[in-house]
Amino acid sequence: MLRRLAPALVLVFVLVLFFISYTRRVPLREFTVSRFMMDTYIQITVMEKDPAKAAAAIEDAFSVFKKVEDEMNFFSNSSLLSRLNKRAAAGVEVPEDIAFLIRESIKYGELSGGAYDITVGSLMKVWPFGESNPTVPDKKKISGALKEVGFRKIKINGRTLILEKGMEIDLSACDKGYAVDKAIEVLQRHGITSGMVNAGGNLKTIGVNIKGKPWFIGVQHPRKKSALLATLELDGRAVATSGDYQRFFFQNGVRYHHLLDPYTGYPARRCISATILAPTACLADILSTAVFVLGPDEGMKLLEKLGCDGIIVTEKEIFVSKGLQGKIKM
Amino acid sequence: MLKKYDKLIILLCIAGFFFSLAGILRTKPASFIEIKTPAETKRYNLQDQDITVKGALGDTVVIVRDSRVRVADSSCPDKWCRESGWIDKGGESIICLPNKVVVSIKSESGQREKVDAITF
Repeated sequence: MLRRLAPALVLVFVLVLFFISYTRRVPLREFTVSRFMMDTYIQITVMEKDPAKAAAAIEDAFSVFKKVEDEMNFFSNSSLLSRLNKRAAAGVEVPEDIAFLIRESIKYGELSGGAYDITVGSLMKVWPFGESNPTVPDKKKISGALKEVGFRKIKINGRTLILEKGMEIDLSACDKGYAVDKAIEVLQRHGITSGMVNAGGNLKTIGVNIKGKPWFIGVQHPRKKSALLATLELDGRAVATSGDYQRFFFQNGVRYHHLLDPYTGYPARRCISATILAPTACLADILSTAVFVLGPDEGMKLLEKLGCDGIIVTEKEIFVSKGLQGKIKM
Repeated sequence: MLKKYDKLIILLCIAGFFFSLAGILRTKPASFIEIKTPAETKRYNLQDQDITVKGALGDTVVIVRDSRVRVADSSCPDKWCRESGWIDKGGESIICLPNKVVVSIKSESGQREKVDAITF
């Protein structure tokens, strides 16, 4: 009897061994660390087996954000950019990353016909977003600040920057995207093959998610707080959104938000949100602002010209670029 | 006396037992609230309660009702977190940037529901 059952017992033994190895194998785990930096909430996620390797990669990726914040925070008097802005009328040497972002910003400032302008900082300082009991600034203050806006007056030769007196460079509409790209590069240098860097909804991914599937992203509905407007699978491109619901206040029933039109000095009114898919997070960041200010007609033309995709929402309509049609769920 | 097919059935039953056990060990875990402040990250259950935490600027009051969570009051200037309303799904968060408080609904496994991230 026992002899006849022996093959069966051997099989059971093998199955037990298989079960033990199945439950004890070292799986790919998801590690996420979140921090408040660059005036937003940054989440870095990696898939790794080794916790120490994951922690080292994430820490190094966060150091990118620290460096960019220390260098480029427009609203901190101690940042390098603020100190450079004060001396730029006489000509200053800027670090290569700032010079790169200024050159990129001038390029996309031209392509967007001035809708994207890194000299709107003086205007941003006039508007009291984020303060208690904010009110619309006086017209004279806005027109005064507008005189210092105009990216075409920026002179940059190599790393030498010269600004007109009173003019200031504000990289807030591209620095987070730039930091996301650099943080992704850091993760890849650490050998991370799957992960995500998300700086307040401006995000880029590598590889696949913890389920082994393409990263699945939701687009915030601009008017329904707990709802998604759309979902889409990311194809390796970065995504960023600009919306009138991010920083705003109401006065006499009118919404005043932080995405200012460089031509008028007042909040841009052609749309209520713009979500952009671009090869880099820096470009997605830049284009989300540019397209928001341009609105759906000119915005879609710009996206088509650059081979990028987007979802542009106005109070009445939703516009989806050709490249995304059929690929998103509304 | 056991026949060839009896043995096969016994083997299949044993295999089924082990894989069922593996399935039981991987059952869906419960959801919970995670509140992150500058000082600490703490977990709370989803039972009705009022939670007051210290943020960078002052207190944030979080209320839980019928497994839904919202910020009832905050020391931040813009009160956007308070205006965010209720969250009730795993993976949803309310982020108060000025007060540096994050209120999230999570599950034991850390797995999110539906989407991996939201662009906003």
